[in-house]
Amino acid sequence: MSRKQINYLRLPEPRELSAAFYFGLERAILEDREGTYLFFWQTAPTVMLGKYQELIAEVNLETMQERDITVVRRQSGGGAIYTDEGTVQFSLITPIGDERLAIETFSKPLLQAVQELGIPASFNGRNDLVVGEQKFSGQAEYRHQSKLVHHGSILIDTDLDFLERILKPNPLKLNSKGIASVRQRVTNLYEHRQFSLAELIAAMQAAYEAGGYEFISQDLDEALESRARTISKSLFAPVEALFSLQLPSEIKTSRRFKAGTVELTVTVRKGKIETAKLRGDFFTNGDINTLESALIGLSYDRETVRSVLLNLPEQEIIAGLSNAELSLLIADSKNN
Amino acid sequence: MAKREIRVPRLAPNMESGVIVAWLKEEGEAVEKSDVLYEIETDKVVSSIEADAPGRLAQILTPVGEQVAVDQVVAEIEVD
Repeated sequence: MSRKQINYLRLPEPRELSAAFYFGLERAILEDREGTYLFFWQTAPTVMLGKYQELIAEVNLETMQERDITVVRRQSGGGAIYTDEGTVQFSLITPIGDERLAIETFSKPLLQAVQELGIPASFNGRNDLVVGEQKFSGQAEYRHQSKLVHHGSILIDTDLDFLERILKPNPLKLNSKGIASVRQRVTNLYEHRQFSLAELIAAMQAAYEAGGYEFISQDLDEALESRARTISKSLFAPVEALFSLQLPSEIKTSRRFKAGTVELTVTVRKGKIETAKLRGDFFTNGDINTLESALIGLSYDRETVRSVLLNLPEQEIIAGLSNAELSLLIADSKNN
Repeated sequence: MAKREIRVPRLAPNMESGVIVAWLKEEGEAVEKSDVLYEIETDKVVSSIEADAPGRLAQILTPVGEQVAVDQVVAEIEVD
C-alpha cells in the first residue's frame, strides 16, 4: 500500500521564496526519503532555465537589469520560464523503478484539479496545460536512480507583461542541436476564475484520492530542510555566466558603424571563444585575421575582449573603426 | 574482453527518440555498475542512464547534441 500514499509536505511560514531552496528540497527527498512526496511553492521573480539551456539564448539581458531577478537552472528538461509570487509550483517526487511512464501521468491530477475549479483546461500537443490555446502550466521532469522528480508551474496571477519581456520571444538557436524553448501564448488562471491556493491544493488532493492515493499531511522537518539548504548551495547556485554548457554555441551579431556594417560570428564553449569570423561591407587597413585570432581563447565577455583589442599593436584594422569598438559586438551581461 | 553495446532505452510508452545532452564518462574510463553514463532529454524529461555492468567505456558513438532513436547503440563497454 505504501506506493499509494502521498506525503503532502506543509511548509513553514513565512514562506521561503527561493527556487534554489525548493530544487534542493526535491533533491533531498529524492536522495534521503522513501515513498511519494508532494509540495507547493512560490518564488520571488525568477527565471528557471532547463538543465541544458544557456542564459544568453533565453533571457533579455536588458530587461533583467530592471528588477532583482535570480536565474536558476533546473535539473529537469524543457524550456525557460519566468515565475513570481503570482505563480505556484508543485513538485512530486516518487519512486518509479523500471516503469515506463509518460510525463502526463503526473500532470493529469493538476489538469483534473483545475477543471474541478471550473476552468475548461486541457493538454496541448506538448503536454502543457492550456485554456483554449493559451498555456498556463508547463511540466518537466528528471529521472535519477529509479526515482523521478516531476514539477510544474501554474500561472495564476503572474506578471505576464514582464514574463513576455524577460524571456526572448525568439530564443537564440545556439547550434543546430541542443534544447530550444518554444514560446507560446500564456494566460493567468485568474483571468478565468479567482480561487485561493487552499482551494487548488484541495482540488489536487481530491484528484489524487480519486486515483486511489491516500494523502498524509506532514510538516517539513529540520533534517530535510537542512539537507535542502546544503544541496541548494552546491547544485542550484544562481546562473550568472552567459554560457556554461559543454555544447558549443554559435553567436552571430551585427552592428552598423560609421565605417560600415560589421558582422561577428563566434563559437563559444564553456564561456571561451573557440572560433571567430568577421564579415561586412567595410574597408581594411590591415589583416582582418589579426582581429579574429586575437579573440580566440578569450572569455566571451565584452570588457575582456575590449581590453585585449585595445592593446593590439596594429590600430584601426577596419578603416574608420577603432579595434576596441568591436567589443560592442559581444553581449554584455552587466551593462547591455 | 567482451564488448557490450549500450542502447537507448524506451523510457516512456510513446518515446521514439531523444537528445543526448551529456556524457558523464569519457572514452577509456572505468565504469562501475550504476554509474551514470549519459543523460538524455526527451519530451522535457532529463533521464540519467546508468551502466548495468562494470567495465571500461570503450567508445562513444554519438556525441552530445545528437538526436538518437530508441534502441540505437550509443556506446560500447568492454566487460570482463
